Amino acid sequence: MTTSLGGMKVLEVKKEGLIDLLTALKSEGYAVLVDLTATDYITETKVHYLLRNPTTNERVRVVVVVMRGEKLPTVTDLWPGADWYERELYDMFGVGFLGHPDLKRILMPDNWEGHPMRRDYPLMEEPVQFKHGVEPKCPSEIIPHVK
Amino acid sequence: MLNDLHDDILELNLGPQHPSTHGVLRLKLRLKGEEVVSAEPVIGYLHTGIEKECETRTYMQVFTLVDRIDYLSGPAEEQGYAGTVEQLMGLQVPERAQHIRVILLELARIASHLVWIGTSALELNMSSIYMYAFAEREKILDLFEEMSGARMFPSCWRVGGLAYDLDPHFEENTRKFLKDFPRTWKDLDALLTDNYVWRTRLEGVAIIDKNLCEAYMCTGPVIRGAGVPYDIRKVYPYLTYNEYAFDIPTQPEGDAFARYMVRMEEMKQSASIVEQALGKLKPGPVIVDDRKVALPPRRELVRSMEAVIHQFKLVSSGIQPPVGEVYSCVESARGEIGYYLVSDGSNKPYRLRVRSPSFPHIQVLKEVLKGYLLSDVVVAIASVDPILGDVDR
Amino acid sequence: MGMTPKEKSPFLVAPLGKLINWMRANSLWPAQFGLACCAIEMMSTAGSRYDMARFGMEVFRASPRQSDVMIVAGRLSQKMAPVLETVYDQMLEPKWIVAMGDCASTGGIYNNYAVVPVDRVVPKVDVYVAGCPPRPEALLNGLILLQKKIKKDDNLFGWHEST
Repeated sequence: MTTSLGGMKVLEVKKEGLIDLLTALKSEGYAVLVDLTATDYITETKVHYLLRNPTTNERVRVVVVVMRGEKLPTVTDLWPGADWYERELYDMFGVGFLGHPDLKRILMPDNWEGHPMRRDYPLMEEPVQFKHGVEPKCPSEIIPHVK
Repeated sequence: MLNDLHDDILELNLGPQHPSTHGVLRLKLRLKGEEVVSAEPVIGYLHTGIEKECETRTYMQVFTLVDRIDYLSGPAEEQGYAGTVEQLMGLQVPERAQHIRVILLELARIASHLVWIGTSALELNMSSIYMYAFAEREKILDLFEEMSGARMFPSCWRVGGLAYDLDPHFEENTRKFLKDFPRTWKDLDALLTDNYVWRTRLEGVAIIDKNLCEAYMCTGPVIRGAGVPYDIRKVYPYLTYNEYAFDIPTQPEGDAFARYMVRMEEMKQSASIVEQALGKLKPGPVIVDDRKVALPPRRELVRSMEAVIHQFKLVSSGIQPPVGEVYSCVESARGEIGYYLVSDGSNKPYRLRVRSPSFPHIQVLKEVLKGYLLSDVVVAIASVDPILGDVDR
Repeated sequence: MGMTPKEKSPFLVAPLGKLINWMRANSLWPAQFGLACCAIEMMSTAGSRYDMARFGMEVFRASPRQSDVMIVAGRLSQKMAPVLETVYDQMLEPKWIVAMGDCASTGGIYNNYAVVPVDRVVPKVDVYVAGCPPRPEALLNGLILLQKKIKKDDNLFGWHEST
């Protein structure tokens, strides 16, 4: 399934076919993995792999949807540099990776509980105090969320 | 157990608080004598949760947060974010604003390379170069201060253009700086390029070749020092970069000295781009005309009720881009900064991901430092030019 | 002479006390703790335009055991706070601490789970310098305030009152 977005092709794939698709793309010439990131939608997490072809400079994005608590296969055999990117995804979103050499926290302290970038993890803001009896406010709520 | 006692391996912690690690980077080194057996970088000492904070701020408030990720090239970060939102909304920035943006970006690139040269030379105990480089950088910061009032983070970028126009004296001050800059460049070049100590310490150290760059996603001066002419300004041009004539310097060896030569040459090319851009400035608007995106000029507020309503909506809730996702990238002094923005139609971004250039560069140090001496470790970290703000975000 | 450290200095040694305070104030050696953007402004302050050397502070020591004042320049994250505490404990008395910038003083523009202001980690901060990042002149103003505070200090042996 492909959709074009700002000129970049987006391929959606299921978890089982992920490694085959990435291996096929890599042998076709998309040899550089530019970015590995994720977006959290509370019950599920969308993981994105952004690939680039160094000879034609075309980019393609591969999207995989994984439910909370499920694990993805690792791509460190194809790209050794994906090691830290997967550790960051584990730390921030709680996405596990099967076959990763050393999956532990990278940005938060080792004994931190919780995965900060998930949407239901609170920001833990301190309300700002005001004088003259005005109620304390959190900075992110001063301009409310408007759809 | 007796064998453990005779083990020659010393575990040394080049800790987060260290004068030569360019920020708070921790390296767990295992040394045999002075030779490095293995090196493991540990990061996370500057994590500030910027990405999560961006989800709770409006699109205008995110400019200040995003500035401080790569704190030496604030303009590049702002341009990356503004370019991403403009691509999502389909806005066309006026030409004068594009030329001014290019001038500020290239001046910031020169300033960042000057800090790099100053601090790298300081770590090799050449402190007069630190003084020369920072004195030159002060002149660039004066120009930024004239433009917007702040030295390091001129937050004058807005979605759709710039917040205000240039001062009348900006052009002549910039031309004066460009006239004096080649002399400082020649001084730094004469002090370093043929310097016996500098060359012996930098040549052959931390060789990152083309295959390693591809496997580890290195960009910027690291991949150009390995011989690949990959520069986002030429490959995926943004703003008006396809109107200027400039070269992309590359060096084939891939060691620390090659990266130094690439950065020196880049400073010269940036100065020439600024000169060309100053010649192309024509009078015109500096922000897009669309009232749902840009604030109306003050004098219209007196006359028109619509302008007051637009101003009220923009200040109290902010711009609301359409639903969608977009990825766009910029070339900063360190490499490719990529922005991935997911919008759900509201006035706050749903997800803003910053793909930072220094994250893979520090990861590649794990592969590259084996077999070098302890004094080469300092040179290797310096040559890769990491900024821990954008590694940890 | 049988003086305990908690007594104020008696009149016989008051001029000596003033001399010692003057010496301490004019040769403060900062310990490097540059973390983020404020560190770049601290380096500019040590540069040749806004010279810190004329106040005696150009010698940035890497080791905390050889320094008097620690300038915490930049945002302090959760992982770095224990490191700050360890380094601060390793400094010898008398010691002072300057929180440079908004992030070190109060958390700055980051009001979230990850940033910790310095006064949660250290028992007492001496000078707060505001700004994001503070101009070099503002940092110099903060350091001059610290010098004035040291010169007024009547604690001759430099032992701070324990809280």
